[in-house]
Amino acid sequence: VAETPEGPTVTRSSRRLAAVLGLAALLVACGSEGELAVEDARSRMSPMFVGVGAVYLDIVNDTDADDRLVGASVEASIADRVEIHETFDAEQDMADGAMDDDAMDEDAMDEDAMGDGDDDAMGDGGMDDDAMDGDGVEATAEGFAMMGMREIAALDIPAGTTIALVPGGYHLMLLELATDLQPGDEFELTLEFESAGERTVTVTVSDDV
Amino acid sequence: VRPLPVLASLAAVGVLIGGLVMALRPEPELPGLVRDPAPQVEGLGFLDHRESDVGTLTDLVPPAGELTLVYFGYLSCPDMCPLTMADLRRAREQIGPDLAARTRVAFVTLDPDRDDPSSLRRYLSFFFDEDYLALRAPDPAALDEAAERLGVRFEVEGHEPGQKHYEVSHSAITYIIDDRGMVVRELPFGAPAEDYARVIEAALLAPAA
Repeated sequence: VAETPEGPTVTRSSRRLAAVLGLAALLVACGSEGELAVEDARSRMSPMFVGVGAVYLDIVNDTDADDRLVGASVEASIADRVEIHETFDAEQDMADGAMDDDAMDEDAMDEDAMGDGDDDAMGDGGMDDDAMDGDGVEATAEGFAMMGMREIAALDIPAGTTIALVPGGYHLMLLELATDLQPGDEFELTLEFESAGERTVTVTVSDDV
Repeated sequence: VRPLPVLASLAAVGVLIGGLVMALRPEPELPGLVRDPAPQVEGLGFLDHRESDVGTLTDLVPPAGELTLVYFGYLSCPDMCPLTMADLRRAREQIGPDLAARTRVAFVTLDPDRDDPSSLRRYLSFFFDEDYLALRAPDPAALDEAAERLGVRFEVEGHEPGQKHYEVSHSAITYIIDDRGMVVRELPFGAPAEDYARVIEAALLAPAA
């Protein structure tokens, strides 16, 4: 079962809300009730020469059937290819003895993507008592852990759930970027689902994802 | 009794009480983490993108009354690093040009094999105008020492010279460093730009210790 990474979702909800309100006219939601829809597709500004970018979005499975995201693509003028990635707690993963070549393994889907590893991430002492009282930080403590990134073969989208691809959790990684992604730019992204087939959405580039 | 003065005095009392409540409400906690004792960066030296030819080392201590915002990352990072740069960019916009001019972002690469000085410069200049530091440690031991001093955790996958794709795992924290060379606060990846802005503003406006 693919867990929705909760931390960044919470932290950025207000920003996401603002983004939704501001860009509502630009967003393409390809579904209505009872369908599988992709919403709020956005990318963060990235320079072409580093070769990589990331797309975040929400996948709303309003159907009665489980589905899976199995692939994604953009036009060659944007990037050569798109992979499904997760950012994960590399220390937790090493502790689990699962560091090696299972990146493409189905099992990767079952592991703690982000949400749960927070407590031990904060385990190294030396912080003052109220250090974690600030709003927003508790939910984003993963920044203190050593995070890695890996490709996953597919992303489960169970029936009746919304899976959020958010910074620090799952993302779609653009490889071999063919252009600078500047705030305000837009491009088309096609997602391929095992059951629902293809969905094409417009991705908006922002410095606030 | 005419109703008007009664209403007016009621309103005045209301304003008074309201003001009192506002004044008595404690300041909201600043987000992020404070370590005790505060890490000290004095003596850590890095190759600056401007000075690398000359061989002089730059430290992370800002001029009097200013802040250095230090982040350790790598350029091929699609998710956490550029997101943090974009957040810092927005935070500096939010605090306004006068305060922003008293801050500079320093990016220290954890991946010196791929991130050469000119790439670092191009990367930082994508997010910031002139005022940034694109840094490399002079040697692996110096990077290890800096990481240890600040609490940066990272791991670079083994690779051959010239290899393009390999993994870098790392903690993703922005360190706010004052003119004494002390890390006064640190913010993990995922904090909203507003949090960075609040922390930077508070550190700039804090009375000298």
